[in-house]
Amino acid sequence: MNGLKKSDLQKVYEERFPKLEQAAKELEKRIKTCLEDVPRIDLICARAKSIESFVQKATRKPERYTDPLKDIQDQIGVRIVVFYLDDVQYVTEKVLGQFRHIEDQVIEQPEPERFGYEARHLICLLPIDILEEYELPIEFFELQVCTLFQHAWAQANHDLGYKAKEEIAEEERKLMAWAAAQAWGADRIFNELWRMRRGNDTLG
Amino acid sequence: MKWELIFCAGYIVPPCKGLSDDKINRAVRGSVIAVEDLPQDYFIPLFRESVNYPVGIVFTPEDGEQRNEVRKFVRMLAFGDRHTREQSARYLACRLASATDNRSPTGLFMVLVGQAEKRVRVILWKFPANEIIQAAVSNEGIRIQVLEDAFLRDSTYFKAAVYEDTAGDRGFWTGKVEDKQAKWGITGVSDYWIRAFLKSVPQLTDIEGSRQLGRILRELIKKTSSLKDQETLVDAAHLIKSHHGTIITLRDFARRFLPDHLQRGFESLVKAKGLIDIPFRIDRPVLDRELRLKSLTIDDQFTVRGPLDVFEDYVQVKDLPENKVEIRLAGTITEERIHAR
Repeated sequence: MNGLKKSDLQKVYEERFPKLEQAAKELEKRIKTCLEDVPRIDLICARAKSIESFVQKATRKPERYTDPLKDIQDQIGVRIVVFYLDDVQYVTEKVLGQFRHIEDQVIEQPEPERFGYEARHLICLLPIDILEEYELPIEFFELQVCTLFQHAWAQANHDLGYKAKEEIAEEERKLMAWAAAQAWGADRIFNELWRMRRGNDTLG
Repeated sequence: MKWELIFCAGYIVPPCKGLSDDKINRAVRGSVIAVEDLPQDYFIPLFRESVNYPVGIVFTPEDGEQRNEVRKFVRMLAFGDRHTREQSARYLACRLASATDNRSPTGLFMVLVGQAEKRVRVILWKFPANEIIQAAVSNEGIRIQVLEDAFLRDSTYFKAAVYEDTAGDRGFWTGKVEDKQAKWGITGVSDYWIRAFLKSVPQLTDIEGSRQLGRILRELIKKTSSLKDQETLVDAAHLIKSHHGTIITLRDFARRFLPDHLQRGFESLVKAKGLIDIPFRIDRPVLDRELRLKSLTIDDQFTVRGPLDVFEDYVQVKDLPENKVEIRLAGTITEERIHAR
């Protein structure tokens, strides 16, 4: 963990936190402008990772982040919530026209009979003018693009405090997986309905 | 911070595009150079000035993952042992040869690595061989000699890339490049040096570059009080829209399309120093969107025209009976003219 004690790490992150918050606000504005003509977007929001959450992430798996102040790439995070599955790809392409990225992953469950968190995750380069204006000590932000149902499941999952699988009772895991399966099914059905209504219309 | 040079290597790199790996490997000749044998008077200033290279680049991911072959070798140059560094330098020299076609002459590829506390800087250069820097390869390795001519030294042509970071796993994704051989800044060779050799892209996307250009022009038109200057800017905006697909930088645009006094105004509105020299392709739809004007004509006789984004700040339209409107235009008169009908 770069030789820093937990308290020192927290102190450094606390110092940079106001800058991250301002930059997140500016980034949100930028993404909203970029997507202003795109329909079926429910939410665009950017946030600076909370101090508590940053310290927790840095110390939970210290072997994963040799230099957490740099290696944790979601110190600024943006989430875009769209109506349908087809919109995820469309919105992602739009955003990638504006920002350079170094990662683009579809997060889905590894086995077909498992259900859980799903979304599109990207690690993008912060715009140069934002980097310079706020003198940011980081270069990247995380962007998540997901549907309403994926978002709803993720929010509830987060609120219920399910982070590490081993801490969750089997019954609760089953219930969460069942809820995820419902969200997965609802996404497919609404996407299908949307395709039927849309006919040959383009997405935008 | 006091920098210490820790590794250097040089290779003669002929154009080898299209040749097999084996042939390329035999064509590229060179070796590690002991740092103390390097012409320090020449290379230390070059090392120091590398932080000012103007064009920000970023490595491109492979299969959507945070992997990039060139980045991997740059990190090995930064943190590897002597053997790993030598292998990495040679790999990059061969990669450069395979990206170079016959339009480019044989060059001298050099790698220099420096360290200051936890920071490591890796610089890659390609110099035209046998001009200012002379290289001779023998069984004992490569020897570099710099011609002692101050004038030549100032006019050194080279392509370069610099990377600087600490040892974290997620570092060394961005760098800066310079091309002192390109006629119009870096724009002419971005594909060969940045994309083909470095497996990177400029930090600015075409859409973001065009958006910045449109924003600056819009702000400058708004700020300019002289009608003549406004017309010059509007003409430049129309002209640049017809160059859809052309590679340009913000500085190039100002120099090629604006008179001196407007160039300064334009450059002062570039929000970040790092933006001004990054090449991007002109995207006409983006410029159209950024430079939208709205006009309103009543009774085919009177027209009000202004930038769309501030139109309603200046022009208020009130509905009257019988399909009529009352228009209120508020602001300061900056020019008044009478024209022939």
